[in-house]
Amino acid sequence: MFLEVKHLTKSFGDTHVLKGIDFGLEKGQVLSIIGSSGSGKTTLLRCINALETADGGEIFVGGNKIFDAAEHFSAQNKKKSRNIVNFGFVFQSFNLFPQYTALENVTLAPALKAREICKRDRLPKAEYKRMLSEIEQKAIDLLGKVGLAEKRDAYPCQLSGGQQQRVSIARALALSPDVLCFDEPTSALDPEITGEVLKIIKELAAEDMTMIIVTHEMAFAKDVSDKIIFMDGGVISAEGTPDALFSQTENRRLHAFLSSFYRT
Amino acid sequence: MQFWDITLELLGGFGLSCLLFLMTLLFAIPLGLALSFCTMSKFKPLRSVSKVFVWIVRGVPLMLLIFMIYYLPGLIGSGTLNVFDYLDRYFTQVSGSQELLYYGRFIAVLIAFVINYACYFSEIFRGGIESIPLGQYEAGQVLGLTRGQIFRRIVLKQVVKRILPPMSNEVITLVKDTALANAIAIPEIIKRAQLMASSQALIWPIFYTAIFYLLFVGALTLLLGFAERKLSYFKA
Repeated sequence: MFLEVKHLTKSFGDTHVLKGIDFGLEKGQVLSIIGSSGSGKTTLLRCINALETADGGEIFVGGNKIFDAAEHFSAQNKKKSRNIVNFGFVFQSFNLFPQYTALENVTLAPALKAREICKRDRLPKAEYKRMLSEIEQKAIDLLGKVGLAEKRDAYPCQLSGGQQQRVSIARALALSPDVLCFDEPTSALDPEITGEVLKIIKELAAEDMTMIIVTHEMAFAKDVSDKIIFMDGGVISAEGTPDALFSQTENRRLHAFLSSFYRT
Repeated sequence: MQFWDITLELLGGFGLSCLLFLMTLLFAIPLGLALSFCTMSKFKPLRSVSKVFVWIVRGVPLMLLIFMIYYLPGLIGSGTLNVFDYLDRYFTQVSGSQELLYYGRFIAVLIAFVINYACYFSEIFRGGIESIPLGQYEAGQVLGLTRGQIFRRIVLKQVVKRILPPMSNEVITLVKDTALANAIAIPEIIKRAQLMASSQALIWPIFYTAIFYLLFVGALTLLLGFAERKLSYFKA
């Protein structure tokens, strides 16, 4: 297993949001997490990305432990984890930086990283400049990949929701993540423009990008995933390949959840 | 000729007001930022102490604060001589000036102004910083940025944009508050106009001082408006 999550638990006060989550993911696989609101999907994703600190459990990547609730996880440890594995994260509400152009949003983090490396290794200025132009070229390519090459100098407020989300995908890709995580990437979008974002995720899946997607788009999840997890009340209620999961009828909660999507 | 003499005399006083204004900004902005971090600290004693400090300073009239700073060293020491008065005499002696210089008292007023405005600014900064959506910090975090990088590269400019209107208000108030230096006989513009009224029976210079304030505040308003327009290219 490339990514292994072992018995993850998380509470907010008296509310037990995650009650022991175990799952694994192979490299190049796409995992979708489905379930009703409040079932813990987003919290699980946030715990994996260190946006929340789980109360219990461990996370391994490629056999290396990147998180252990039993140890105190300082900023130092987080940095160490980041050297083992690079997670990308795409938010429901995009969270682009409003004062930067689309291109600057994509280049900001890699450029800061390059500056740190140059400072640490005392590289000459010319080398730093070369790295920056490389970073910019990669960012331009990524914006082209998400279909926004001509919007590179636009500010987030000048972009539609779908375009903003595509920029934020490019921003996450700029750091060449090992695992790309999506937290309901289309929930804040108008229904008619969710397609432009889903199309990009599909293209990434075709390129064997390892992805974890929290989504309410059932047809999309079925189409793009290698594996689906259905969460209910803080536990994994069902998991399996899309075909197995969607044809399953014994699990009443899953059945009720899925049928609510087709009842209109 | 008399008009120009009076204008120059008042201008000299207004120069003092401007100096007080600029030096207050210079010190109160960084101090206010530090204070705002204290009031937002996770360490409770620091937070409590800084909040009580802000409460006291904001709850006391600025004029009283000037008196307190001016008289406080006398209370602590032997009480024979006020340290600020001592500085006044010292500077006068060193410069060989015929008139008594007021540099010591100017320092007292400056301290009072810096403390007062740092507290007001700290509350504006706190409001600005806390109004930035958590998602901005999280986006920086998942991109591997350090806390310092997140503040400097992502949050700061958005905070500046948001606090510019309330800061403009406060800065304009500061211009006019400089007249309070009058309270310990620093010859700022209104003090000088008052002296003309009492020694030469000239009333109009008192009204004339308003022009100086209006022009300065007008220029400041244009400058701050320019800064706001400069930051209007993005929405935050």
